[in-house]
Amino acid sequence: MAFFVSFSCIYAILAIGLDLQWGYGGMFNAGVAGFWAIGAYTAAILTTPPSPPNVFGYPGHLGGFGLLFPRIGAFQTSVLVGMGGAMVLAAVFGFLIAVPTLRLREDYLAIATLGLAEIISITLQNWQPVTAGMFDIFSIPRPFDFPGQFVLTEVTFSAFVVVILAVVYFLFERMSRSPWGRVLRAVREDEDAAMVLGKNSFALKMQSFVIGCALMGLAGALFAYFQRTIDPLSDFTALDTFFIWTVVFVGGSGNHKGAIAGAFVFYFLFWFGTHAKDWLGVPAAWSTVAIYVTYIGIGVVLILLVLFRPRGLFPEPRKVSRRPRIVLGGRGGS
Amino acid sequence: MADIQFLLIGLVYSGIILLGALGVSLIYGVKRFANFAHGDLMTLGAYMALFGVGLFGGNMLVGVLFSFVVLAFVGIVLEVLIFGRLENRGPIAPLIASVGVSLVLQNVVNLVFSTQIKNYPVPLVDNWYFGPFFLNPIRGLIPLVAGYGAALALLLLLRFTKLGKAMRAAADNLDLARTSGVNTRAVYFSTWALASVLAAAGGVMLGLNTDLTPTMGFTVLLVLFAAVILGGIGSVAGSAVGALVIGITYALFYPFAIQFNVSTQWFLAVPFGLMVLMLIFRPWGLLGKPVGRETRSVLTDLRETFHMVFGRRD
Repeated sequence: MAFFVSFSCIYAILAIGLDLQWGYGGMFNAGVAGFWAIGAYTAAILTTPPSPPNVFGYPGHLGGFGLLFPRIGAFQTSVLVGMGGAMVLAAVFGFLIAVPTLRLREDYLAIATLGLAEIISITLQNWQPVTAGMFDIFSIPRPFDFPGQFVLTEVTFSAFVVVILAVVYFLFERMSRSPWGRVLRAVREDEDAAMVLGKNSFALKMQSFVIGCALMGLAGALFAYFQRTIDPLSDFTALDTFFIWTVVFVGGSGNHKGAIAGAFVFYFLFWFGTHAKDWLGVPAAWSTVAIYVTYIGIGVVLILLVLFRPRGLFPEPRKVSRRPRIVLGGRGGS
Repeated sequence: MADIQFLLIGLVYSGIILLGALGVSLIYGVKRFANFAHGDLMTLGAYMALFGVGLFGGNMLVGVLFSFVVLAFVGIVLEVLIFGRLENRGPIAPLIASVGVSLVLQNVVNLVFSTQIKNYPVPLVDNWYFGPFFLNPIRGLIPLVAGYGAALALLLLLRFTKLGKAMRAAADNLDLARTSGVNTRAVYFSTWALASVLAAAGGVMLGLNTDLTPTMGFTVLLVLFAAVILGGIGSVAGSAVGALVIGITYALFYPFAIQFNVSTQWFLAVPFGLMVLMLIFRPWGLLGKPVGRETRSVLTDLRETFHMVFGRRD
């Protein structure tokens, strides 16, 4: 249960990040997995103890920063540093890729981010001195570690992630109701009109893109803490990007609540799917078939949503920044 | 000396990339979206040829023709079922649909043909030697000739046939083409059929050059986009130039990678880097024409970025 909550919350943070880029800014980021991976690796490198020596062919990775920061009770302060670093680095990469592409037609950003994610994945698999190459990075700490008490450790971690999700949700709900969010949506609807009104659409899109990337980095850091190990081959693939896309699409673009609900529902289905075959005693040969069928199903859902429900199952609610003030004797506000 | 051998390998690679890039460029020009499923159309084409070879008694040519017919049909079905309904929805809606198509195609191939590496039943032929350099007639020469031959044929088709003129007209100004009596539906169908057949050819050549895996097309997708953007979207000659540039950098990169013990996987970063540089300085590509929003250059970007970072109230 704690496992389920933690993972869904991490997916929900990713979904909010993407929703900010796509739902509010109208920018198609095809490299979510790349920013996620940057976050996870940055956090892992900043929080792990020194890498184990070169044994059994394990090449070791950059590490040991974890010891620089004190441990207060059960709380590992290096975790906060890891989260900060993950957000900053993901944001920097987002900025660098956005500079040449945000000005152009929307699909250039998609192509460029797709490429960036591929290259990040290749880099992580091959930059051996820093990322241990094809090998996993092990012994990434949890924020609260109670040695020997498995349940307590898991539950406190879920609570930690839930709190972070709540903070993120609250902040972004405020941001999207602010004038900033309003102009961002105006840019999404009609960029030329917004520019005619003197809004710097490039800057706005850049800000929301970079903030979205930072959120993806944060989700990556939490993912690394959650798993305790990260694997460059099976985590962070292009398929993960499409999963998040489906989450945001099903949940409704431009609707943070929908994105969170989408993440929970989607991960529940996924989790149910993987466990159902154990409960029902499905033969092992079927499980690979089931995976392919799942992916085909996701593809079909994406196509059907684009065709028939382009605004998602839960469309964006109308938003008012603040109550319109009624001025007596004059024209009403708003 | 060895470098010229790598140049030959790079040229063969550029021929394969060119076959895929022509299809991407056609769809981008006429349908106005980036087709993320194009790599998987290549995969499907490659596997359909393998299937056809088995079906029709081991004749490779018949298998390839079978693949062309199937892929042309698939392309038209995609237009009827999905992309024809997404007209006037901007560039992103069809792009997302194409991501869905990509997932479906790739996993159908996984499901039907399994993830095992496969090869075409072609005879092993000795390399042809030109002094110290060599080229395999089946694995090297055929993809090279097919790639540049297809580009030439497409160039002639676009320039001199009625269909080609209709396609160029639709790509240039859809409404004007329609009011001038061009049957745009027919143009869309032939564009999809043509692009899919080119994808099938690219997939077969890729399979002939290396081997068949369900992810073979998806992994070259980025290189296809890079070739198209380098040369200029919508320009056939541009795609050829883009593919050639990528082939030459391939030839330059491999000796370097071997000498400095760098993983050859990193090669993907080279076309990507070239593409980003092109987007910064010349978004319309080497041989393309600047239109619409793609006319602004890096100076506008940098000025806006400067204002963004250091502030200018607006």
